[in-house]
Amino acid sequence: MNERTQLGWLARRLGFGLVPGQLDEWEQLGIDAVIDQLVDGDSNGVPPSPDPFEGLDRRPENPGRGVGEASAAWLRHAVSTPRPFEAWVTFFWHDYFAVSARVVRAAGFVHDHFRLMASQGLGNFGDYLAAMTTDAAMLVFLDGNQSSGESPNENYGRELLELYSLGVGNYTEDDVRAASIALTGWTARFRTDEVRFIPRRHDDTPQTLLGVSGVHDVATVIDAVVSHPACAARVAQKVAHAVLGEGADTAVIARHAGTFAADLELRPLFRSLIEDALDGAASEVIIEPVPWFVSCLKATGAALRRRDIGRSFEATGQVPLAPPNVGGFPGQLSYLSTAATISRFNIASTLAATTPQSSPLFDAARTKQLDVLADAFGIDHFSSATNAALNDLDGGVDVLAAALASPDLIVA
Amino acid sequence: MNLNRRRFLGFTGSAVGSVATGGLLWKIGTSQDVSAIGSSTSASSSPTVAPTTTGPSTTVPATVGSPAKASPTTTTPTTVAPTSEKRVVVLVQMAGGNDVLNTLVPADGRYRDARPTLAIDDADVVPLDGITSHGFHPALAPLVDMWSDDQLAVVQGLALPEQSRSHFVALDTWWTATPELASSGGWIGRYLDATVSDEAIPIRAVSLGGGAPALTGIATRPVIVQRLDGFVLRAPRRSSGVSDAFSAMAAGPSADGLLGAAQAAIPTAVDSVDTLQTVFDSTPQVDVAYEIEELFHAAASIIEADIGTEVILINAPGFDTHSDQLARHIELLGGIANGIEALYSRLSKSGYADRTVTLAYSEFGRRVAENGSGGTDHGHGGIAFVAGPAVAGRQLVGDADLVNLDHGDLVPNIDTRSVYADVLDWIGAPSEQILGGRFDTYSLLAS
Repeated sequence: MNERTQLGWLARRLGFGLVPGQLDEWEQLGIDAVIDQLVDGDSNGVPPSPDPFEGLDRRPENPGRGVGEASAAWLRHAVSTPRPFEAWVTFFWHDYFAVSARVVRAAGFVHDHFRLMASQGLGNFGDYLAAMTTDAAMLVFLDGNQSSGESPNENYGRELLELYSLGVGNYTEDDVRAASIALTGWTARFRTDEVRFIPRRHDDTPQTLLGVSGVHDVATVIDAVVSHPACAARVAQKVAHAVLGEGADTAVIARHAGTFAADLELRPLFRSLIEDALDGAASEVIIEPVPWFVSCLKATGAALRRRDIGRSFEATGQVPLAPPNVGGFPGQLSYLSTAATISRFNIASTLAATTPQSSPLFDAARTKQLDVLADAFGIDHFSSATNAALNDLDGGVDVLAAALASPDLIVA
Repeated sequence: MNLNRRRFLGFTGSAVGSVATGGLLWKIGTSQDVSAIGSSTSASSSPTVAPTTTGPSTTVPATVGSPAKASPTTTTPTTVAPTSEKRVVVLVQMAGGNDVLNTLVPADGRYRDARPTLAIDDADVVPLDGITSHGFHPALAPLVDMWSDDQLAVVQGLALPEQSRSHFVALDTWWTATPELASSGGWIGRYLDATVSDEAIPIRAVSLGGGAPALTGIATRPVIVQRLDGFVLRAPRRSSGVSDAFSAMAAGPSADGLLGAAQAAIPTAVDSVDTLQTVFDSTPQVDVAYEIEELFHAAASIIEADIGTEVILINAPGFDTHSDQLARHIELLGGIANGIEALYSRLSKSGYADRTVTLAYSEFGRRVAENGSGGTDHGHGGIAFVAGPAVAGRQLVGDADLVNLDHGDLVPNIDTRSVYADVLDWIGAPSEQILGGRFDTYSLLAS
């Protein structure tokens, strides 16, 4: 791969695509500097991202509207942020801690949940998991709100062990109960818009969790969980699959997991995986509907219309801010289903029709400069079948729609 | 394309993301060692109510009277079907773990003791003709006529091997039925692969309201319709050739890997839109109480269109009632009951009811005791409804023993694959091959 191709790959896989001119700028900077800027913006002079939810009502009268506004605001943020990798990382965690805003409904809690993922998603995993455990949206989503010492609810306790840290086979039903009891007392209050610890709802009886005795609160639960060797291995595997693709070599993953286990620091884990990816450790992935959509918005300059989000995305199987269940969005290949394929075509049509005709991208579509079009999306060229199909169309909106919908844009 | 297990689950639009399937890579094997849960002999000899002998003897008539609906085509290839008239299975996946005890309510004081706030009031329990031990949740009232007419059987105490309280392990098992065969797809996917024919049947299997790992085989993949109103291609302007161009992107020698897969997905999608758009457009507009009922109407329209579809799956999520169960269960069960009732009401008018069997089921059950959040946590012992004129109805099979609990859970006594086997046998499938062993059935369906 030449450097421009590598940079295009980075943008497509880990940065939600490219804005016009970005690839040229990156080429001038050189790939090492680009990686520095992507992974560690603070140390490399990249302006901080503005708060995506600035100015939004935390408790709108219509909660559904609040959720819709939050989705649109986050997508706009993903399009415009000076730190695209951080937005990508947040979206990774949104799949990992798959909290659905449609269930939470309290807009302010959803904003805070995304702020937490953005601020800690490249930090220390133990601190992050502890913060997530008392996150308001999570307390609502997995019934922490309903859990008291008198009758502990196991929903969060189970997923903490199964999905968020260790995986099935590494804990017992007794561990689920112990964790659930020790975490009782934390509640998210809708009325006062805050998280509170209510001592009388908490059972402080020391529990044995994963063989560790004396576990009785958030700190001791998280300590027991992140000290278990399966935790680092599982988190490293999830991150590695996201960066390298699911075809990644297990020995490579194990090496990264070993390093990560020492301190559970996420930023170096992501960074070293990216370096491995550029050294050839990555496998192909499907670009999922939300990243695909954001990359199309970036390239075309089309306006994001809130009404386009809900229903259009429903059929793709990936509605932003609304993963279908606690396990996260469906597996990548589901985005090749009939429903997702049709929906991609329809969204592409809408985007093409709303792309400013004055934009250089539209001009390339009108004049059928297909390599220019491809380059705008970070790829060297379209496949021969796609080129032939595009050449058969009238230049302009039709070419742009077909290019946006093309299979070439969803494989990287 | 040979799909490994992860890819299989991913490909199917499964409700479970990569997050959930990680670490569940069962080894590929062809073991025939299938351990049934409990002995089917003991289970079949101890149904709460003895199977009625008055179940419908209806099999599939040699000729079905001309359906009332205008134009079911008679030229549809039917080579896969065991008879001249293609049979159809409608699967209703009540995902999340349906609570058995509030669905089929036992007349047992222990139930009330375990459910101080969740128990259904005696006065609200819907009585069932012929049995006194149980009654239906009030929201299931629309199904009572089918029960009384011998068109509905209920099986309780169900479990699959490797039963787990984890949603994701349970779902995997639910879809594949036999974990040892997971590498060859879901249980219906294996049926579709085993009975594939040369003749082009546009849509053998369709999943409504989401993806369907159960329907996904190696060679066969279901058409997935997420939203009925979104299943249409919208070009940016009238009479543009964009949709043709889209199809053309799959022309020529296909690329390797994922690009090839993404190309191959296009013609399938475009063709199924062509077929189903007409079908959905002809669906009468009906007022429904719950959104899920629309999917049952869509299923009826697909069956009536007579396009060779063999399996229709309806995704009915939301049964994970850790909290607020009383209110949620009314909607969840009401949607299923109204839907099944509406499906057969339409199919009996159009003449397709006899050849359609519906299996509504969930991946696991819930705890006997309520949890203090107005809900119930994950537990064992599932329930299934088998509906249609072909069913040996008005019978309750299996047990939910409230005396001998295991750590507060019902002890399952029937292998869910016994029910799968009944359905597969009825549709003319090699059930033993598909399920990896012979499971005694309860003769729920007259073959």
